Amino acid sequence: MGPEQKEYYSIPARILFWMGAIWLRSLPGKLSTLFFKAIFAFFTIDTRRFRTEFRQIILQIYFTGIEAFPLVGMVAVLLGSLTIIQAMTVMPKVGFGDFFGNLMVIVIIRELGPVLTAFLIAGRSGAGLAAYIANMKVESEVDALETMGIDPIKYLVMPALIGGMFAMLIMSVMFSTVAIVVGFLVAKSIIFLLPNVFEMKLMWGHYLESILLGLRRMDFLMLVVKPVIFGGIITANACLFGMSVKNDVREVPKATSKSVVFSFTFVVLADLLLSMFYWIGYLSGINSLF
Amino acid sequence: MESVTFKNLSFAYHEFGHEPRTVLDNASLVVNQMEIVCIAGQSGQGKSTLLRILAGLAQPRSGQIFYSGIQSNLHTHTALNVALEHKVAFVFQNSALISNLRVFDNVALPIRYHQPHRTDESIREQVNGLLASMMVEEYSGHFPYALSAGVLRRVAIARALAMEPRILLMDEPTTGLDTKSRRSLLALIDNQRYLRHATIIMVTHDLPIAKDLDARVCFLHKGKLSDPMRHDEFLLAQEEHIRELVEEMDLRPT
Ligand SMILES: Nc1ncnc2c1ncn2[C@@H]1O[C@H](COP(=O)(O)OP(=O)(O)O)[C@@H](O)[C@H]1O
Ligand SMILES: [Mg+2]
Repeated sequence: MGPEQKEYYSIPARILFWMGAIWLRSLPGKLSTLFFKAIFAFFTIDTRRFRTEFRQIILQIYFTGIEAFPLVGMVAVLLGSLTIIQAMTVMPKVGFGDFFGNLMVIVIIRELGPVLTAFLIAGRSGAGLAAYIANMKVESEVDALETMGIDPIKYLVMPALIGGMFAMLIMSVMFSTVAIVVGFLVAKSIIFLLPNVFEMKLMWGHYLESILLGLRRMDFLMLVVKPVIFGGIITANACLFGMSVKNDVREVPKATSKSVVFSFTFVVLADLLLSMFYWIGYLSGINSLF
Repeated sequence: MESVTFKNLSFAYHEFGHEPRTVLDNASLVVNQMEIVCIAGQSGQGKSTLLRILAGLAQPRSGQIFYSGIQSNLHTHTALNVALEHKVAFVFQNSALISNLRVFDNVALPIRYHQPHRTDESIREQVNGLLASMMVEEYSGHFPYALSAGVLRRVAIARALAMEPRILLMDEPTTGLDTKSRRSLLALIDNQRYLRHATIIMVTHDLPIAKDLDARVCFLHKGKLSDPMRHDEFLLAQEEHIRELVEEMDLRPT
């Protein structure tokens, strides 16, 4: 054999290669790689095997969503009543119901609802998931899955991701609903207790109507898109940091807290981007399309 | 017939901030079908690492690995591929059962996953049969945390056998067991070998196994893997590290 021939790559090819290599080593690159692998695994589920994997997804929805409900519900109650109580201190004398409706739409449905739900789910279920997977790594259970020919991406990550996104959606809608209903009840009881200060009548029908009127059609889209994206961010982070643990128990708490910190960061960043997208869409009239 | 063959395997751990640590240096071995080969050596010599490489859990720096005569491409030498293509099963030292599945579901997992067309009835039959062959059927409804090391080890073997492996890799299967469970475990392993025509490579520093199972033993020391030796051969071996192991085991004929 002659001397090894060096392959020649053009400058643009090399630049692309290095950009790709850097992207794959960066956190967003790793996250999105994991995310798309899991999504791919979801769409290529062997339908005959669906029972094993469907069971995993249901378990994840239960763990991520249903078990978190008391926490999410409690914060929703607090946020709903606080918003109303604060609003009443600066309440205008006219247009009472419309004002509440608009406020609820802006504060809860459009912004705080999805973000706070995401924070709660990240702190509770995301951390739990990261610790769970990290422990499986330490106990070599993930290795065991591989030696049984079971892809951990299919068995662990995909159900967590799909379940997590779905659970976030349910929880976020629950959060907004609870906050709105509780807000109404609180306003109603304050008016009832202080009839001299607030001489207004607040009807459920009117309240609800003003909320629905305050919603743009784009809000309905966001109501679904935001939680699903946040859910994806949270579970992808949890799985990535959980999987990054080797066989050292000391890495488990580190991985767990990192997963929460980066979930928070990326949720806020994504929220910022989505809000910008929302306003750009609104100002340029795309809103009327939806 | 050759079952597992590896040639010139080299491996080193690269830890950040440390010198690379060579664990395997041109290790070669030929294991025949239905044979039991033990890999012995002091702790920290890289026995587990060698087994992990054979299972695809780690990638050698260089060398060749053949399973039943078919070479594994080192670029795609992952545990998933090795398990699926070459029917290699692994029994971990810590058993590594999935902690949120009951014993039954742990053993059923690979069957359910790889043979989705099977009915519940036939899966139950097979799993119960495997648990019975390992004498752990009474623990079928328990979660792994509630079981002793010996039982866990047997469940792990049952789970590995559920893969219907041609090659079974075991990391210290008898470590931490009392004499009685050790003996019964060895009898079960030997039984399974004849029943299933499986090749077994096990890491151990339990040298009497070699006599009990009529196995050949390779010694791993400072990255070098010795030629396989029979019981009577290694008792007379001259190498310092082998003599130490033998003396520890108090194996010399008195
Ligand atoms: N993940 C790892 N990273 C770095 N070094 C390791 C790792 N695992 C094992 N080692 C080192 O490699 C050597 C061999 O380990 P191992 O294969 O577990 O030995 P054995 O099973 O013979 O006791 C030891 O010195 C150990 O410290
Ligand atoms: Mg070891």
